[in-house]
Amino acid sequence: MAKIINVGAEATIIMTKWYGISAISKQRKSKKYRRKEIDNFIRSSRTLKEVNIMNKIRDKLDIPAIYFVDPKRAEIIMENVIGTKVKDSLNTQETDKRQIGKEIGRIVGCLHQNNIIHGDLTTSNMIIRDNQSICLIDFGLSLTSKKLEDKGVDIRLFKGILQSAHNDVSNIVFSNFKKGYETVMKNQTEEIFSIVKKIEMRGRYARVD
Amino acid sequence: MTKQQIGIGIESTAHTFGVSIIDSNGNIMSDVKDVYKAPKGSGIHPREASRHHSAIANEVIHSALNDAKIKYSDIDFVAYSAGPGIGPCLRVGATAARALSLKLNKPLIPVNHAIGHIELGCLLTGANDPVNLLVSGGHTMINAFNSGKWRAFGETLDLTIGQLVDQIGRYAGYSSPAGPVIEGLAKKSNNYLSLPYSVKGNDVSFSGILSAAKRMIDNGESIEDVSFSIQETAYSMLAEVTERALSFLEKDEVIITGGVAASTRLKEIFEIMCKERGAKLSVIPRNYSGDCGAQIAWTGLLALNSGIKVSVHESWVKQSWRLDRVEAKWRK
Repeated sequence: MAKIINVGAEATIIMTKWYGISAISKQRKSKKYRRKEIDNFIRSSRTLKEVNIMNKIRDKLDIPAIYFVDPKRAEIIMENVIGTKVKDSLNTQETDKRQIGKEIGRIVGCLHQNNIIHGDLTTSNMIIRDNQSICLIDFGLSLTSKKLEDKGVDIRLFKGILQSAHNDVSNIVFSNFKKGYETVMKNQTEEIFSIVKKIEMRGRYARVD
Repeated sequence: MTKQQIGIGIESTAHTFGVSIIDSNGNIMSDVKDVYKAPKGSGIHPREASRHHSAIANEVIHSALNDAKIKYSDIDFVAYSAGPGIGPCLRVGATAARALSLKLNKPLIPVNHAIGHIELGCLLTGANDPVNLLVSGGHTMINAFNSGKWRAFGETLDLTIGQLVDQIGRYAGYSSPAGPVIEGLAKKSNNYLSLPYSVKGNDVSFSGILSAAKRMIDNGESIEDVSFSIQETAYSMLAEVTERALSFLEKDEVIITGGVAASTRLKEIFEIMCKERGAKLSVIPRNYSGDCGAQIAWTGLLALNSGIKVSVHESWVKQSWRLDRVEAKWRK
């Protein structure tokens, strides 16, 4: 009955049951390529951080319910979120890219308003449920920070993924992302987006000739 | 099929002045280089490096032709590294290429140096549609080909891996490039000292490791232990972000290119990571991992065959020219 549904870089996701409810077990498996010291630290610290930060934002955003945590085994049992990844959704014709971009912007704005940095805003970490609510997952690299720089790094990662993996719709999604972000972050938006530009320019060989 | 073409590629982005002759089947007929050596403890001085290149350019070009057993009149195209790199160094290679192109009346092709590393790696290993990890003094970037370009799926936010090991080596008093020295020292230790492990999404940051490692040296930790710990930490970070890209892109092929691809420890770590995922690992052969004319000659041929060339009076060099901005028209 335990079925592996995804072997990610970070963790293995296994389909399971929790007191009769369909659930997933996220297990940060030991990586043989890194030393025990590094491996143990990464697995336990990211597991705890993930849970702590999710609990901070739970009442404000759609995120998976957590059922059980075992920091020693680096395992979290949580809700099995049913829906379509934004990654797949952006690659199909019929979806409303404006609406998706705007909603992601609102969600990220809400995180940043609460000084939470997601740390891994890729389109495979956002799931659109049947009721159209977008559920944000994978808080393993998240942190709390008030720094505008950290918020900028968060947004730059999302922008980078749009340009690399969803190039044909990246402009439309990102401009609507900003609109959605603005509905929450108000007049801080311009400052943060100008920092995003600065971070991009800091990239190797990024200077515009 | 057009007739067999023979091309010359000139590389001069940084410390290496390299020239290679290649034919249109991808046979590297010669590959000659001469490397500028910085004084102990310091890095590349742009003016001194460009003087070095000017002084030896003629000789290196001649040796490349001799080794390939061809005459100037056999050359069908001239490719040069147009960026990214150090301005004065780039200009030496470009000037030599322009002169050859004018004299021989053959097409001139500007090549992105970083793309050259990747495409040569694919030629020599047979990698088809890989996730590429480009690791060198100038680059630390993860790429995959997607809709026309070698898109970036992660990169360093500050130092490159080459700069990290080089700066520590120089700090400890060794000559640049210090990568091989650091690897030699690391082999003598198995004592891991904790260093900042900084993965931000798909990106890495090495500046924290550099500061902490310098402090360790100041505090009298052995250079062997510090070197060992830097490699274990930094290479694990690179394996993690590369695995992230593999997972996101649902690919199962990895290639490591660039000068740091010569590291045996990096290869070991990636072999384990790839084996655990069931992915295939290719590493560019050691003699072509560092900067060389062959990467320019081969990519120049690919570019020429897809219609890319430039007239001498419109030719240029760009110190900043990101590889993910280049239209790789030769790839489908």
